[in-house]
Amino acid sequence: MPLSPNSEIVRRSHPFEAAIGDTQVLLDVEQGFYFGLNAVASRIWQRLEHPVRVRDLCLLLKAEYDGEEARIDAEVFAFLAQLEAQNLIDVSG
Amino acid sequence: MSGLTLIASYPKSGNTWLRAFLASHLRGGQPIDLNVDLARIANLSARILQDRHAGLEHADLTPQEVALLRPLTSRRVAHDQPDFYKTHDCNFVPPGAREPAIPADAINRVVYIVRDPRDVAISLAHHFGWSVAASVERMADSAFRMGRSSPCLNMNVEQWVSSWSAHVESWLDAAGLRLLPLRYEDLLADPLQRFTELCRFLDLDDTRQAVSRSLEASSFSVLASQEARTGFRERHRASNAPFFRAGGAGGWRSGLAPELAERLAADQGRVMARLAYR
Amino acid sequence: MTDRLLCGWRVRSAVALPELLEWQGDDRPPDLTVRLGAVDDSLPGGRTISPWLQIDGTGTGLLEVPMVGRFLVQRSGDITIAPQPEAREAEIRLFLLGSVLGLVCHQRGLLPLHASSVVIEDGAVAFCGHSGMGKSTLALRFAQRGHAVVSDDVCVLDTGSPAPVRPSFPRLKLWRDALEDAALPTEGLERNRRGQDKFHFIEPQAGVRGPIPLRALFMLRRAKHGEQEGIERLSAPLDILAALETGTFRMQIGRALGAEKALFQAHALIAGTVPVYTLRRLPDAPPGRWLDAIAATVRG
Repeated sequence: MPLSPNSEIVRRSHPFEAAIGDTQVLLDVEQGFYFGLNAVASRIWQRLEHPVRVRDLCLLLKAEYDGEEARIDAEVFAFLAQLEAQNLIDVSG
Repeated sequence: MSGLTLIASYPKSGNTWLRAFLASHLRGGQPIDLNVDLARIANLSARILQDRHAGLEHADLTPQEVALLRPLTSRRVAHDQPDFYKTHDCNFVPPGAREPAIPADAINRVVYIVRDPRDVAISLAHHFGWSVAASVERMADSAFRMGRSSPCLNMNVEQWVSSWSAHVESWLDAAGLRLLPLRYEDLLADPLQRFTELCRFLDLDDTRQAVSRSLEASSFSVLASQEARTGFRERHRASNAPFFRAGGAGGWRSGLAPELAERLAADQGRVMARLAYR
Repeated sequence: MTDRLLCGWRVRSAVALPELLEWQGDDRPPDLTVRLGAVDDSLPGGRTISPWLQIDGTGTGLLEVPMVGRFLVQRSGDITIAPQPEAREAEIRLFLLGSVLGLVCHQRGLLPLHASSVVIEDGAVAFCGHSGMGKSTLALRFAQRGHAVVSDDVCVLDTGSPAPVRPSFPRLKLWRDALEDAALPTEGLERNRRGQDKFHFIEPQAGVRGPIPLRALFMLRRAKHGEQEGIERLSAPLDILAALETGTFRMQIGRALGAEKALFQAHALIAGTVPVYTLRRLPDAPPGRWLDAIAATVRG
């Protein structure tokens, strides 16, 4: 399903997680791959434990981080698209 | 695809040429780097691959245990990592084992390449740094094995090759295999036709344009000049010649002593006649 | 027979284990007991994990090596061996202290690395890699310089923080050419397998008894065509994790026993606390060349 500001996102699988330095690493055992998250990505990942709309996620991040709004939107979308491509999230609506 | 797709041959019979062709063809006819892209068609007996799928180190096994283990490991590779593989294994049951190293149920299909044993003898001698007489003797030896670790570890596990004639017949006469036999001499004489048959057999792109492009990328002159520039990691340590040395057919007529040609004809004559090597 | 010490365990064995140090600890009951006895050729309810290994629902493992024998390995620490009549003691010990040790580690939630290790600067430095990459040869060269040998082939780590190494034994498996290059005679050494040109070299200076911290890990690699030789620190977390997964001894047994999460966390802990390097060498490069560079890298 294409991502839009109205899409609702939630974590799909529950991979193993561990912190290595500043990187949060996920291991998806079923699919057999590692996924590394930097600090911001890992903050987003935490928020995805419960369903959230993309629009609300972006608002939240804009409140927490300095940065050009359009750029934050673009980066959130790009990151979510990666998670979706790796089957790590469900997208609906 | 399930099961192993094998490029099988007695050593020095054109296996590397086919691998080079496939390495290019599977990447849309792109040029290949010998030292990187040939790995796309890996050696089934590579130690790291065998250790991983067997769940133990072959370096701790006796040759007889390796012979018992290999068919079981072949089945696991076929199941967990089905792909193209090169092999020089004979397809008969090795002494002391119960099944061939690569049992039929692990095999999807086989391309078997055969080359005039008189040319093989010369090529083997250059490859291993032996005399041609030693090659001729080895080719008649039903106990011929490769990959033995002594006095240090070999990067392949042990393969039972057997004699040239046994090797050829073990594959050509195997029951229940989808097998495409190819004579090296025919590949040279009409590459476009033969490699098109190969692609058709392997369900790969068999259009004239695609086959020609991959043939160009894997031509003998391209491979030999690349080896001259950068070397080739599959060249044998004891070798006294480049890996891509002559690449032709019939070199034995000038390069093989008549008594050795006679000896080969005596040892291998029946199978040679069968393949029209006169 | 005297009890022996293996990875901190008290071992009582019906098979002599000369490569292990003697037990000098308290009078606890044995942690591992090795007996000789009959073992069935199949394990009821067992799943085939690899061609010669089955594991059942309770985590009991059955390893069968055709010319050596059967090894029944229970989670309780009871190990029963049914040797083949022609099996030699060195061959039985080879599998007991290799494959079986790896299985015991996974049964107990420890992390076995496919590594030889020696003591440098009061810590264990492990050389990890596939067969033929020179693990034991490097350990031998350090041993000749007076470094104690912590493990050969299987380096056992606790999974808790900060992941100490449990020393196994000071025995090295070496091919004839490695021994000859090190100017060591092969006379009198036991063969790894009958007829094989690989020998068991027991380092006469004592091994290590207690747990010691892991100071550094070197992943041994073959320099591919055109690649430079050298030591390089891995920095990307995912590269380190992938290297540790590849370097884990019998990872598929850990998975089969449901230890995947614990192994992942153990890997992550090492990745975050211990420097991991690749040591890339040409296939024929003499091992002696690298000793100073390794020691200097460890000292930092």
